[in-house]
Amino acid sequence: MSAVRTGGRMFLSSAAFGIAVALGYWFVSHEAAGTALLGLMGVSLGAAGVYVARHARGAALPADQPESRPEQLAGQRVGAFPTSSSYPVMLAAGIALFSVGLIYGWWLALPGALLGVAAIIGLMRESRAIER
Amino acid sequence: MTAVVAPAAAEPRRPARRAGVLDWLVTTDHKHIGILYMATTLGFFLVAGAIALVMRAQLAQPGLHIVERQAYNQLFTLHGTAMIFLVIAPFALGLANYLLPLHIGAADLAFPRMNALTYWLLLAGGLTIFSGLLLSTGAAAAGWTMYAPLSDFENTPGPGVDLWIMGVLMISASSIMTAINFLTTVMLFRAPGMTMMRLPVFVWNIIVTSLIILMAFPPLAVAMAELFIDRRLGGHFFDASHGGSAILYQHVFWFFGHPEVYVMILPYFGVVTQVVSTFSRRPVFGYLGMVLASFAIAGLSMGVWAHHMFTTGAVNNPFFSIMSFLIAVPTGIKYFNWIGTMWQGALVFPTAMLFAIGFMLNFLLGGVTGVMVASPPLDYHVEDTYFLVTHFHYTLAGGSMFALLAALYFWFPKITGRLLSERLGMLSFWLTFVGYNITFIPLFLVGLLGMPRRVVTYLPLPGWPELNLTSTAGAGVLALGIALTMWNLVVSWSRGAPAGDDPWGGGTLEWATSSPPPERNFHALPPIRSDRPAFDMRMPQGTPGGQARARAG
Repeated sequence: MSAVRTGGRMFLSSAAFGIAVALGYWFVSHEAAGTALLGLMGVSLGAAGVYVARHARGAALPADQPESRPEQLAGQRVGAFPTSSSYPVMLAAGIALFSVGLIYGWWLALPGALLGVAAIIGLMRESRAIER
Repeated sequence: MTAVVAPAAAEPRRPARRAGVLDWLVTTDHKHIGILYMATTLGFFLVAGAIALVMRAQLAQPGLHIVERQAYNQLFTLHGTAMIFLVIAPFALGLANYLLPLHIGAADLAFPRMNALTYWLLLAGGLTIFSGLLLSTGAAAAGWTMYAPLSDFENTPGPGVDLWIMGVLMISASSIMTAINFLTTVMLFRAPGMTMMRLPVFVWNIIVTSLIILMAFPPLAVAMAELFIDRRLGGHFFDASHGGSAILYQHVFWFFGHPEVYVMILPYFGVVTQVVSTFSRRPVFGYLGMVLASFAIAGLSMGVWAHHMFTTGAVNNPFFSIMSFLIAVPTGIKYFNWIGTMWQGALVFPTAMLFAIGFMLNFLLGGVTGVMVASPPLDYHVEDTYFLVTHFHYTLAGGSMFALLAALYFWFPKITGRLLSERLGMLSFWLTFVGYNITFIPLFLVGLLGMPRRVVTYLPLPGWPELNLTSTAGAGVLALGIALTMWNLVVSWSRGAPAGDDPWGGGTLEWATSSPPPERNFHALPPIRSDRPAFDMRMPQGTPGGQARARAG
């Protein structure tokens, strides 16, 4: 069975578990906060599960075939993995400045936001270059 | 920075270049990021450990004034926060960062740049939390749980709590992205033949941990945002005088807080499984049972949060008590399978194995006392005493920390190409193990006598001073043991004996590549026919139908 399908089932069964426990919990406790948390957990995992399950059909990976060999992938493109990028550290710095700026004032939050936006634009441009 | 094409057979080896500071800043290689994670978390570990020593010194005798009350409150808040958010959980994620692609035969994680972002966010979050120490009002001092209304603006006005909230938010975002990255990588980037049922148990536990992170961390982020809105923007989520509810904070916080315990333990269960299997010279006993037990633990962990709230009187105690008792069953299965793996194995006992066995003994005490406090009548008796503190230290320090040290001794040779000194390692293990138990067994007893947690000093009631003094002495021995391992790391990094590719006779794929692995991890992959492909490659005659043998256990 394909791993993506396994993944879909993993999400969907976790979603079913969340909703079942939410119902049981409501029945024994009539407590709103926990029921909402469990229910929302179920719903959000369900959404992820449906997405993965819908994409599972076309995903036949050599990894899922027990007798496949590494050589089968020789020469094939298996993914794009950049080895370095200066934008992640820049984005993290932007997020940190922005977050602390929410405490101390816009003079810190604004440069943080600008730095973060610049980093995101940089990441997007870089992605395009990598995909090419 | 380009697409990776799977290697045909062998590529010419490129000589390794020593990375400069700038290279570390911009790296997106999962191995470098893994090393950054582990080095940073060990740094925070030393700081949080030093804080613990100061607290133990303060409590050695009643009436001491090594630190004053407000400073003490900051210390226990920072100790808990750092150990949970910056050491035990992220070290495991860092280890998985390094190992996961190697374990499944991939070139890197699915999203290398997002991976780098998670590390820098973790570091920024940690520094933000600790930056509170520079303020005149000090760092957050309301305990790592940051309960409202203690943490509201009226009761804790300084910006220390705000910095803490922002730091924890950054760490939440970092963890969620890491979980997405791990899940995507395992689903899509396994090597040909690495079916889901051939994944090492460590990888399965990382899958389960990632699922828990996805379920638990968003509520934490919500709790933090609401707390911040209450403090700074005039909100009343947790303010009972304006129709809010302080109990709501506890619900949302523990909906994260208890699953987080399993984020801090499941990866280490995986570590112990790999170490025990390797040094018993046997495949993992009951592989499928191990995997299913991890899922059962994860599922149950989402339904036990309010056992932290038994004494509020505002929750359904029987429901949470029964759910909490049930967790002992899958955990018991894990113990059974570890013993099954060792049974009739050709056991050897290098330092990593000793730490793994130390983990099993300590965690057992943590687990058994966990069953005790899952019973509301017993919990009412020991709530907020040192008994409870000691219970969770046996799971997370005696448990996770010992497995963390086992992981260091086991994978250091793969990461650096050099062995850690076994002599120093053995000495470190015995000092750590004995010191740990001398520190914490007296705390069980003083907790049963009623000593409350989070107090700066105490009355000289019968037994209390003696037990506390013994505990402080034990903490000194424990610190010596940890210091020896740290010294071992520093010395062996440059002067350790060369490790070779596979110093332990390991079974998983990382032992089939060089130490340290090349830039894209593998020059050539062996065929994958069981959950021990490196073992199959080394001993083709030893595994008739590899997988069948591995499954039979």
